[in-house]
Amino acid sequence: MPIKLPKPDTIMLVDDSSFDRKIVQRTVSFTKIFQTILVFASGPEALDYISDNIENPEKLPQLILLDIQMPEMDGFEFLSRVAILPEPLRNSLRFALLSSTDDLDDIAKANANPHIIKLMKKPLHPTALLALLNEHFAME
Amino acid sequence: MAPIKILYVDDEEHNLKSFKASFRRQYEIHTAISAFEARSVLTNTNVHIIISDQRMPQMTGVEFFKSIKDSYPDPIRVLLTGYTDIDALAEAINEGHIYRYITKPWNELEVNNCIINAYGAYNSKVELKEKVSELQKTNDELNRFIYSISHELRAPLASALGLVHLVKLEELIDTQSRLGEYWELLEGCCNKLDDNISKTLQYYKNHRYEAANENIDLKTLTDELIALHKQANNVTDQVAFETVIKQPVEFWGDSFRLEIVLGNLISNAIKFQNPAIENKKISITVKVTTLYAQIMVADNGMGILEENLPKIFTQFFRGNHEKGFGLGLFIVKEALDKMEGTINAKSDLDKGSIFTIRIPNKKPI
Repeated sequence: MPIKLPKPDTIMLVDDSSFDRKIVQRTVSFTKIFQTILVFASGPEALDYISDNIENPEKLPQLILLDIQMPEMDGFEFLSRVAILPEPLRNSLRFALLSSTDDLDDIAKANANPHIIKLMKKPLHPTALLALLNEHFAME
Repeated sequence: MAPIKILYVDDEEHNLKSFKASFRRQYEIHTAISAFEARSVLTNTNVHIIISDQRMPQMTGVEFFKSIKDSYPDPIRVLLTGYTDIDALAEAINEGHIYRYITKPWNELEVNNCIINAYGAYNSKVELKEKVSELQKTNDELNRFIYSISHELRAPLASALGLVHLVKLEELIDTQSRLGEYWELLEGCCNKLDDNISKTLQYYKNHRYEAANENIDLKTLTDELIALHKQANNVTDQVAFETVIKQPVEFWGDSFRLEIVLGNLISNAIKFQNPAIENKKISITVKVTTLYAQIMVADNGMGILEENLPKIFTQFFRGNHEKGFGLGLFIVKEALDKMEGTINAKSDLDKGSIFTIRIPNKKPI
């Protein structure tokens, strides 16, 4: 069982659908857990942000919610790019997939990937997000 | 029409000559004096039929056919033998790489008939190959199509449901108002559509996916499915779940199909509650032995009319309610058939239903 990270203050959403960016952002803010919600429409933009801020850990998220099906760079590819980040940084991040998929290959891929803490089903419900946070972060 | 191309292999020069003389007007004849030479012909020409003498010095006809079986699978092979070579013949036939044999000395008519038949066999073989690869392509396309359509239908629906939830979370609507009532109905429609899409896909996948054999932890699976269907049906505390799971041994089976079966039974138990009952309850009892897993899903819901019980596993059958799509239990039955499992339903109207399934434990030895 990996150690729980301290209570998070920043979350990052990566989703190509403008609808879902808005919906997930509102749902996340409803939980009142995070001070900052970073929202990106594509994997490359999110990766750029992370690499631009490697020296500023206070600007980096602790939890990243990642859509699977995105043009250009899908969620799995995003994760394989993240694997090349410096290890201390990687260890301070948790990744969850957020998708409407029920494709068996996607599910198998998600289960096989050690970086993914959970494959969550859209629509995201605040209780599901809270449960995830409680499981992987010290929320008290 | 392109000519039929034949390769004739024989170690005696005059046989090659007389074969060529007999057939060169009808067919395109290539000859080779040894297996070695025959192979160099094969690298340069796509022949349809290979006729080879059995008795040759370095390599016999059967040995030659065996040696080219994998690199040149398409040409039809015919062996020429004397009466004394029966052993070789048996071997060649048993190993399945010759189409026919002709005894020596051959006569022109027999050989010609053989060529015509062999060419027919060649064409069927090639045609079959083309059909199989065509089918494979269609299959792949269909799978890709299903994948993308499933995403294209699902994603906007999930967004719509997300919005529906958000309005409720942010308490933008008075649930007691007319709008609140319509909002509930809207959410119901979205859920139903989502359910119909997933049932349709389950039906499709159950038909097409190969059966898998995995080690399954029934407690994890049951808990996950309960959580999933509670969320999908907006159940919080209105229904009590009771699970008793006895799994002293490993259970091996097809987790995808087991999920279909158990998921549908749980979702039905949630959907067909009896509104008149105070203590709504669903109990799931699992017992695993080395031979099978027995899973019982019982509810105190609305139950099923006795006369309807025999029909519930048929496609598009729906009871006297509007909630179903008529596919759920049909898919359950189909998935169980693939797992060699059985299902049994007992029900009393207004009292509840009990579904008992039994699936063989396929633990590898």
